[in-house]
Amino acid sequence: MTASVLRQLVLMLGNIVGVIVLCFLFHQFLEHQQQLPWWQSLWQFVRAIVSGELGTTQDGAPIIQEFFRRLPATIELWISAIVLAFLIGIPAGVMAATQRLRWPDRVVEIFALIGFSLPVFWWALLLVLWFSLELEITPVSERIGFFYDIEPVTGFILIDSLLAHEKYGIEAFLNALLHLLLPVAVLAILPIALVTRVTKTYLVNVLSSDYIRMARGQGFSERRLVWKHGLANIAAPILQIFSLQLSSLFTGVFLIEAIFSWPGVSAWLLERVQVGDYDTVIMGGFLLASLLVVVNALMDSISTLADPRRRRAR
Amino acid sequence: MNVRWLRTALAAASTAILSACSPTASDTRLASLVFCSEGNPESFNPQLATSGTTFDATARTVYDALVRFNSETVTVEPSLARSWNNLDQGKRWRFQLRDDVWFHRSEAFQPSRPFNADDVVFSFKRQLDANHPFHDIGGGTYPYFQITGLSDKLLDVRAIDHYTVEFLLREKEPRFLEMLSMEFASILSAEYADWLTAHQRPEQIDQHPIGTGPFQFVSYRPNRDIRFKRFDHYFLGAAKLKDLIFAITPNTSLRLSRLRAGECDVMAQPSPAQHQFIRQIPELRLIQQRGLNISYWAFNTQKPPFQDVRVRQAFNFAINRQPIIDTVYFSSAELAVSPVPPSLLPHEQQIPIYRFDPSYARELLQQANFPFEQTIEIWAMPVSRPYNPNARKMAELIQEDLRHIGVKARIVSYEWREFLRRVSLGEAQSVLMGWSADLPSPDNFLSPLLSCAAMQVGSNRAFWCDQAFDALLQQALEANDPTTRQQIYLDALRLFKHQAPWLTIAHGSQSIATRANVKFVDLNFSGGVNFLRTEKSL
Repeated sequence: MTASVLRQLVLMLGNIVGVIVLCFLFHQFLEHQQQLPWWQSLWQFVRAIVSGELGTTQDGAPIIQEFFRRLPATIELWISAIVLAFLIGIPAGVMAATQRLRWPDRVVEIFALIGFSLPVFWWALLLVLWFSLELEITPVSERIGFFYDIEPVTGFILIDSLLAHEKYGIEAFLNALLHLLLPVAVLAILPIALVTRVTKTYLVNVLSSDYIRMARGQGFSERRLVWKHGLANIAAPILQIFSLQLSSLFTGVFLIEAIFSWPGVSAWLLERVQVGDYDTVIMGGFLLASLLVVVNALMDSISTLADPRRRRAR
Repeated sequence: MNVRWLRTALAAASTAILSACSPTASDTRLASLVFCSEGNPESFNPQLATSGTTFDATARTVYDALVRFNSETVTVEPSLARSWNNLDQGKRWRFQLRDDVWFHRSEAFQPSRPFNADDVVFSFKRQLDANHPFHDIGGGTYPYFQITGLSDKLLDVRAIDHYTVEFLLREKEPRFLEMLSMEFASILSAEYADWLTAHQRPEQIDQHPIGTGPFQFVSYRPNRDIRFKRFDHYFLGAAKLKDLIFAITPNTSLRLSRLRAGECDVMAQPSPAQHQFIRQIPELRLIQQRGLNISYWAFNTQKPPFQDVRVRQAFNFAINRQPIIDTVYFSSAELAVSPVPPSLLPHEQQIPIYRFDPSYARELLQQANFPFEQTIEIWAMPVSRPYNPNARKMAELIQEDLRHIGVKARIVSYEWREFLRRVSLGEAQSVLMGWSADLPSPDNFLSPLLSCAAMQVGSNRAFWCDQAFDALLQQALEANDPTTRQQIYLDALRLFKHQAPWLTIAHGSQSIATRANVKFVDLNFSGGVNFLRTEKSL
């Protein structure tokens, strides 16, 4: 157990060092006048990062502060998409596995195929066209209507809008939810397809394994077999495969934030690229990459803990 | 169990979504208006700014000036000043001020007295006097104070008593009242300035404005929004809207998308290409009005073949302007009979119009021994402006019309700054340019563009200097009676038409798009928006 945690930590640190070196190379490449030898610049760069002094944006605001101010918006999008992926993907997968080769399976299979094959940005544009511009149900941008003046307490709009209930009642919260709807739906399409497929494939295997057949013979109800004994066994592989997809989900966030003018970290970095604020882009990229490394390590640990076999093996 | 939970969750989510988009809009939405504006303001002080974007967020919401220009009647009306008279043959102007006007109160600053003459003196002294403690606070440059020439012409501003203020001018300035109606002449609070000085943050005066206007500044987030709330004690009666929010949206397509999705109620500057589309959607309205601008084709009268007046006239007859209005402006502009928009100087049927007559044009050219083998240069400006959204396309249409009378033409363009530099030096043989008024007066379309003085600075693109024309402009400025002044301008325009240094093409319109449930959004002569009277219904 300790060994596994240590291994995880070392891996994580290694990754972060890699990210730092990459960022440094970009930084050197963009720096026009180089006065110091490279090893001295590297030392300075590393020292600045370690001491948390990432410098300021072109407008003079501290990068680290600006980054963390926008991070909740991105994380909110990200977590919502993950939650939605599990909320829809697992039941859909279970349905497909238990009703194999019948129509629910076919429907799920077709949706998964569509989810896998169509690009995210195209979905986004299509949904905006239908739901926002034609039907006028959903908004096209931002996290909450401009009508609402919400104090950023936690930075998470769903929470902050609830905190402002004295002013607007439940209305602001519902409005925020509505703003979240399309971006999250689009972002979740690929993970939903993935979770569905993985759940189905593993569950089909597990359900035909000896211990389930044995339990079935003993008269356990089918529902209990699937949801309790079946799913418990495939939780680890689902988590593992899902954590591998986290980075591609991050790429998705970039597109979604740009398309929906979602005021998160990605949209901010893209805007900084446009104005040529490269220091901010590099440092923001570093923070984002480090975050991803940490999240990946965490997910890995969680999926290890979720699997009794692996937990005992190490 | 799990399935039941899921079902409950889905039901809850769908109810939530349905109720959020149901038409029973709450009071918050009815009483507040979101305006999708086109950019960040340069500052929150109109004295320091030049862009309409800034004026929308300052002079037209937060501030008032001594007088107000009424675009409909083309006259100057009282605002913070009740009345005025000019003394010493127009070199001294005395204003009687209102005594019932209050400045906004913010959380930190509470005004202790109503608006008075000290505020007027402060607002102008800050711009005029280089030693004034606030002169250098916002950078020390006051663009419109300089452009209007007040920086040279204004000698002093002084308070005679609490509610009387006097302006001393170096020389007579017939446009003085119009100047005082401009955005840079907004009145700031002297008491607020003192309070800020005492709290050692004078720069706040340009960042957190305190004015007398219908809306009070609340907060500003760059690239996001500006929030205003209604000022309940506005001296002309409080606005209908409780909250006014500028949603900063530089991208025109996103602005229209936000308007269509109902995220904003009003959209700034729809592009002419979007006009037709907006008209087709029943939920949207397009408000359009004549703009105070002109687009023209100037012939360099110093260069052959345009030294000959017959050639210039022939080119006036040769071009069919209606197709230009239809394709370049998507029919949103008005054909320009003269440089001065008719809203400033009613001149229908009073001055001749060049009809489209290619055969007569050819006849004139033959009389002038026009060298048909020569290729004429048409310089087309490379940027899009309200007065000319697409000079390149315009040049192509002109090229085609010229081909019909046997004249060959070539289109020339440079990067914008380089283009302007070369045109100012007189390198262009002919050029497609334009102008937007900064003062609502006929003179503003003539002196800066067609006088001999303008030729010296290069803003007279035709390099046309006519002493008789200059004399008329001077006479018009000196005339005290408006009717006489109008007659003199008409004479000047007749002279201009005969000499034909330009082909006047179009007055581009100003437009704004709103949701159908929004009423009374007012546009001023330069396209500025005013929300004082605006109402929203279900």
